[in-house]
Amino acid sequence: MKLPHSLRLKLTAGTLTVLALALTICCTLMINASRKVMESSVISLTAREESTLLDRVSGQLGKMGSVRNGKTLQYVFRVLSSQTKPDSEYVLQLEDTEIYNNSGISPQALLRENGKLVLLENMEFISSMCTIGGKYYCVVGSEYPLLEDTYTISVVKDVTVQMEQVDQLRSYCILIGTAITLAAGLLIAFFLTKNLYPLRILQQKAEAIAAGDYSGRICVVRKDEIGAAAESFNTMAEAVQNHIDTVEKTAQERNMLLHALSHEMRTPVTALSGYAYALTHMRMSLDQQAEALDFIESESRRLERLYTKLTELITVTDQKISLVPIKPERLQAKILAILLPMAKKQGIQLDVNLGNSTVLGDIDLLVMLITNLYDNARKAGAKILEIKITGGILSVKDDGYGIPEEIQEKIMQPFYQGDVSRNQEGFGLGLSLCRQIALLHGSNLTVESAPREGCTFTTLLQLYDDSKTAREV
Amino acid sequence: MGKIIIAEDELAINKMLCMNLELMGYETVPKYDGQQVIEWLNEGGNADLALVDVMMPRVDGFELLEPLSAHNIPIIFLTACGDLESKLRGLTGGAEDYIVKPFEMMELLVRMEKVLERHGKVEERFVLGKVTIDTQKRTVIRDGADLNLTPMEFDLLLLLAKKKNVAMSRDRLLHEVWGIRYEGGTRTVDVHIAQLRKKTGLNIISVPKIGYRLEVD
Repeated sequence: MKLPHSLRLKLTAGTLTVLALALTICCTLMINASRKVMESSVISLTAREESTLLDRVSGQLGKMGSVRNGKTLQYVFRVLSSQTKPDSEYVLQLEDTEIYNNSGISPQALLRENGKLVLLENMEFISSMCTIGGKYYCVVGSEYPLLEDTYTISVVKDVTVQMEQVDQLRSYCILIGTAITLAAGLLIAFFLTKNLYPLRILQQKAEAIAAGDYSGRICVVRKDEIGAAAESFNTMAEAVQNHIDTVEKTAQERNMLLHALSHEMRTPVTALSGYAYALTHMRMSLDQQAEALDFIESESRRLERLYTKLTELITVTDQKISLVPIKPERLQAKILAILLPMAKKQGIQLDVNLGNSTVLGDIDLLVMLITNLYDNARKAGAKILEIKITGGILSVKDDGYGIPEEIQEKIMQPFYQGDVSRNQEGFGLGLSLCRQIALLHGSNLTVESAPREGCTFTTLLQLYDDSKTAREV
Repeated sequence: MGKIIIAEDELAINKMLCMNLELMGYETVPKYDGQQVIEWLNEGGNADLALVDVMMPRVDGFELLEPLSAHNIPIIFLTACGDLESKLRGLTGGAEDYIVKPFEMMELLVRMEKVLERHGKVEERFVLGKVTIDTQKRTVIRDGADLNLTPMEFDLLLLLAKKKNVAMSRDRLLHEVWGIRYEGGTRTVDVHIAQLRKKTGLNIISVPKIGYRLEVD
């Protein structure tokens, strides 16, 4: 499965970069501060030593009385130098001349270059730090005037040990920083994987839907953004499944219709083609020609009726109708106008009573419905037909030979014709048309019947309520 | 030419078949469902060929396979069911052929002829007024005299005689008599027709837009 790793990688890398940067900055600042503190303390220390040294020099020289000169200074200095601490060196310089220097550096030159002022108990010294051969030195010096000369007395302290502590600090920082970053990296990666896992599930389910399985849903446990997305996904999947079901069902129905239609057309087309062949190729007597032409006419008409009925069915199925109030008298008048003449000729007794309530519907479609039911009753050999509307229920009852229970559901399918008689005039579309009209009026068409006990078709019509307005279905 | 029993419940098609076949010189026995066919067989009915619709009420076409075969009557199925399963069922069950509606009349006639030929129900002699064709000896006698037709003329005349009263196109005549590899045009058909008219004196008329037709009472 193609889970793109880049998001995890990006997030992890991004966070770690920020973390590493922050750690680096902090550590650098801290190390710098430490260094400064260390330097300052080291300088203080050295300055104190310088101060002490100067005191001692002055003290010793004072003991010398009037023999205070350069030579004695040198002598005193030498004595004091031998008492230095192991890490310190005392340096005595006069101008550029080294009088006493075991330190290996020239404090005067150094202090002149980058000496900084140090205050200690109201005394001023000049200090500087330097690195030679891997060792750190702190130099503090001051001017010592004697007679006409100005000497420079300095303390050069080896502060490598102290400064190296700062260095060590830096090493520690790097080590710990790296460890922290790595640990953080692992934690972040783990955290991300765990939290992004639901996205994987989302992806899987989405792929399942794309592959045609619309039943998959996500079990939602989280209440955060991902949970919300999962909920939406479920809603969408449900909608898609319903839609597909509807579409498939419609496609199936259409297919069945087309199949049945093509089936029904075969017979008249075969007959037509056969008669036409005879007329063009065969030597026929006038009588034979007349017979052939008769059949061509009747079969053509049959095709035409099939076409009309089918178009009716398709139009009605696709239709969105508006239900308007219909007064029963008006509907009754229309029905009688169409059915009475036929009923008289065919010897069928009509009993029409549509009540007093105004119903909601499409008057032409209702007339079509009732006319088709009349036709159906006639073909079933009915002699009496009752058409009633009571309390919104429209019922058409006949006394024909009825419909056995096994096929009661089938009869309203398009093109279904009873097994026994392949009735030349019908196509089995009438009842399915009736059902479509009933459905458009908001309710199904049901049938009650038993063999030889007639048949009653019923559907529910909406009653017109003065307080409501007609609405579109 | 032969006696054909037609079992088809659609009136229009049944009548159409009877009309066409009778015009061609066959004798037809129309029946409108399988039950009628069985009753007719039991009463001693016989035919040279049966055209049977598969979907009939009461007794369907497949159920007629056995009784008809028992009487040595070959069957051609006519039906709206074009699916493979039905076809296989029909053919393996013993039918000679299986035609799906809607079909061209011409195709049905040719298939019928082939079946009849296979079952040896071929005419040996054609009597066309004063002209007699003997298919075995390949002679054509008019008023007692042998007309000495060329082989092509004979074949052409025979074809017209088999399909008497039915118009056939020049292409069809050319194809059946001269064969599919013939490179020449249909002009040769016209020429031979002219010759036949002269030699036999038979009424071979031109049917506009269709072709030629031998008219015999």
